[in-house]
Amino acid sequence: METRRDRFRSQLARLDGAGNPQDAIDAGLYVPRPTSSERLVRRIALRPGATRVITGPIGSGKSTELLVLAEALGEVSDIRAFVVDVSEVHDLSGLKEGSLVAAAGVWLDKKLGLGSAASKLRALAYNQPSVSTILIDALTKNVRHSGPPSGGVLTPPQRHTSTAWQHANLLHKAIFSRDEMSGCTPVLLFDSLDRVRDPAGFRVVVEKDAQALVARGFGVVLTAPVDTLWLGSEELRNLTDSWDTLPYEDPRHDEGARDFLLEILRRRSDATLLDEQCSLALVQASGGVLRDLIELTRTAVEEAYLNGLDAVTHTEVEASIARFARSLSTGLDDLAVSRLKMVQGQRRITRFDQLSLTLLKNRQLLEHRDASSNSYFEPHPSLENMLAQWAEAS
Amino acid sequence: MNSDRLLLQSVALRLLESLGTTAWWVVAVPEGTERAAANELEHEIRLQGGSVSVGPTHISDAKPDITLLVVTHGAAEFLPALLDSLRSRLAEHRVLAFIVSESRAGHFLHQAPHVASFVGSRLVFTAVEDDDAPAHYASRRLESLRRQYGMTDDQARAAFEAAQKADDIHLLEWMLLLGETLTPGPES
Repeated sequence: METRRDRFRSQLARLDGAGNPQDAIDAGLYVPRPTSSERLVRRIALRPGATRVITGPIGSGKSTELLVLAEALGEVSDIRAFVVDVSEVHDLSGLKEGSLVAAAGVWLDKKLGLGSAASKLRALAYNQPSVSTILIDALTKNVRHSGPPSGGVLTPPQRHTSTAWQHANLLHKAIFSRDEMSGCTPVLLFDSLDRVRDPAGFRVVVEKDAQALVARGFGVVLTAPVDTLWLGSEELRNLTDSWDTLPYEDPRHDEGARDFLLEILRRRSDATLLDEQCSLALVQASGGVLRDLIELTRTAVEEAYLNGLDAVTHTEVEASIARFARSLSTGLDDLAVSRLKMVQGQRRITRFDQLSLTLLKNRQLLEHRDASSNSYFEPHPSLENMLAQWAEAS
Repeated sequence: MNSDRLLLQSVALRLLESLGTTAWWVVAVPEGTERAAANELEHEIRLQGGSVSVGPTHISDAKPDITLLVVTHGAAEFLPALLDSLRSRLAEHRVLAFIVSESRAGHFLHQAPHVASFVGSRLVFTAVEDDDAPAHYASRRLESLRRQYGMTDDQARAAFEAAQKADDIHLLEWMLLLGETLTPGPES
């Protein structure tokens, strides 16, 4: 017989916002966005051999959208799509020419088995220390790991073609010799590149690796470093064939966005545990940040369990929002608070300096887009009570 | 004492309760007590039957139930960036707690926005050797436990001593909040 604890545990398992997005898709928890990725699917289907970027702020659902995109592309008869999580095979702090193609080779070998080509592809990468070795070095010796753990790419001196081209040629032979790839265009969707902190390294792989792959018959879809959302990236955009952004949906000013976010909660929660009113309050407090919505809901459900209740009430919703706000605001100084208050009043950012960028990256400030794709900004709604208190105190 | 602090035992129980999902925590403790807090948490988690590894010296690739990472003063400057880049690989350690000093918790989260996004609300404050739970927290939790189980404190004590519910993590928490010595019956 299912106990109360079992019921809550099973509910919390469906609110695992930090879990593998593929698990959520497989469990039927995915809800298509109002601004659908169908358009991008059609664009890729029309011309798969191109370099495209899909980007968005942290927690906007990029990884999930890439997986759904790959699934949709899989329905196109002459396309084979593969999502490559670059960070699983390569240290993102060491992007350089050839890194992306080498990462694709290692990843595809893991997933498909590339036979005799695999050893050649792997020989192009250095041995990879375990995650524990890297962390132990960092924490005990206070030193950065020297160089990329997996990504060093050797350039044989006798060759005159570029590293990226050599890798791409090798990968081309390994992939196109497979029977199931006959007549198909493989499209590689590179995830995790939003966490790259070195825009120059990203530029190099767009310029060299993506172009080499496209020239050898692959399609390339990349996520982009989160900084490129707000720093001038026109030059970078010109190196690609298309550049799409997944913004945070705005549940307070857009009905379609609100319905989308509510539907996510309906899929993930039991209506007897979380009613529409509480769902709506959580949706509003999330500011449209998908991961925050799941997290806020999960905390409210945990609170209900700890409080001995059978359903979430507004008390648990408020407690969840307060806890979330506490975490989000820890470490904010007076300067940051006054910037948040300024944006709250103006809905725009007048200075894109380091402070604004930090607040945007950390979701204390959120960027939304209106129907004409114009940007406007607001502090994370969960911070509103705190901002009001700060205003009173000052 | 910080009024929002949880008992260290309660933090251990919360970490254990998050097993089965992916949960990253930041455990903020007074400056200079990070290592002691990690050791104490390790002890508590083991006491409840959980497997745990404590970094930086014993980070295990064997994927224990819970991984505790002490964020040392020197590493705090550059560790966030490293953690952001390692996030996918760290996800294999499903319950992961960063033990960081209270004064650096904000900096730590702000410098690792991807990690902070995964931490979400799970920032907790605790301290070693805080013998008394914050009064409002203890009374609120005790009240909810009484309501949840429909038992008085004496009935809960009796159930715990008889080891009828020694595998119930909340009954254990109940005893801790009452300040009981933890000696459940022989079956546990």
